Amino acid sequence: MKYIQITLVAFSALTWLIASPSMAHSNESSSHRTYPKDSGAETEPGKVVTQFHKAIKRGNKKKARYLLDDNVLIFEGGRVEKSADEYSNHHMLSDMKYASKLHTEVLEHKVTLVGDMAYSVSRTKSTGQSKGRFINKEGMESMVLLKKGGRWKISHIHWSN
Amino acid sequence: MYKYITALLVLTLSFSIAAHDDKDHSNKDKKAIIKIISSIKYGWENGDSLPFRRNFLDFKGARYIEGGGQNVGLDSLVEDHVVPEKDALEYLKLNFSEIEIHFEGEDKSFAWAIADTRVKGKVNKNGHEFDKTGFQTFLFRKINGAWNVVHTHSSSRNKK
Repeated sequence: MKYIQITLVAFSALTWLIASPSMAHSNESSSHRTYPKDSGAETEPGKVVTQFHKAIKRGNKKKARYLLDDNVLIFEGGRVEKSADEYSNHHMLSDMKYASKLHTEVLEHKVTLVGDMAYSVSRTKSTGQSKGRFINKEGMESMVLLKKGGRWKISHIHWSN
Repeated sequence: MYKYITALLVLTLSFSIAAHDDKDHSNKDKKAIIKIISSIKYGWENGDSLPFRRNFLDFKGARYIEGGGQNVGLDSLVEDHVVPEKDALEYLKLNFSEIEIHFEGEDKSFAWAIADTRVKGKVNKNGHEFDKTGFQTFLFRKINGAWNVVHTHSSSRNKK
């Protein structure tokens, strides 16, 4: 009987050990954006785009603000925000809250580099629940990025869905 | 002493000529882009594909985003959207205002323009009239001396 108990405990522990990494991975993938191959996300400005989304998703206001040009112009849902400070003190917070609750899959993402500027166009699908509503939406994003002082910054964002 | 003064004058003059050239160049480019934006307005309002065929760069991967949906490639934009709207709508009025144009790159061969938009129209099928305000983003590249639209994104909501 004692052997059976020991075997069961050992088996449970083994199962937990094996399952843990895959569970952790599964949680990670459901809480982060996934990118298709050859999306352009691997380029320098592409990394800025992915880091920005990661910062929004994780609620990292400092990082998200850092990746924006001071004079960034953001069009979102028929509204405009005309500086990084304006955005980070207003809509960024609700965007973070919203993004943290959704799983976002990047359906298309293309980054085009032209010297010290780049533009990024992407289409995403977000699913999940927010404010008691089930969300299943496609979103469109256009971004203009400029390299200033050796660093890529986001100068313009246009979001629509 | 005279040598230094002459050298300084020549230097100042050459800088001002260069700045003048840059300004002329920038004005010329600005006018060219405004002209394209005006022709796009005409194209939408009249269901005319020509302004799009003439000014948009047709390339694999081109994306033109309209109100949350996207047109994949120039043919899709023109054939599925611009031309059919002529028959679907009794009228369409599109207005771009507050146009801002930014030139980028050492050779200023990339430009992005933003504008406020107002779009009004009437649907033939059900008589529904709409009046929306929103924003437009245009991306341009200068290729062989001519500006080409490489991406557009527009979004709007009902006017309050």
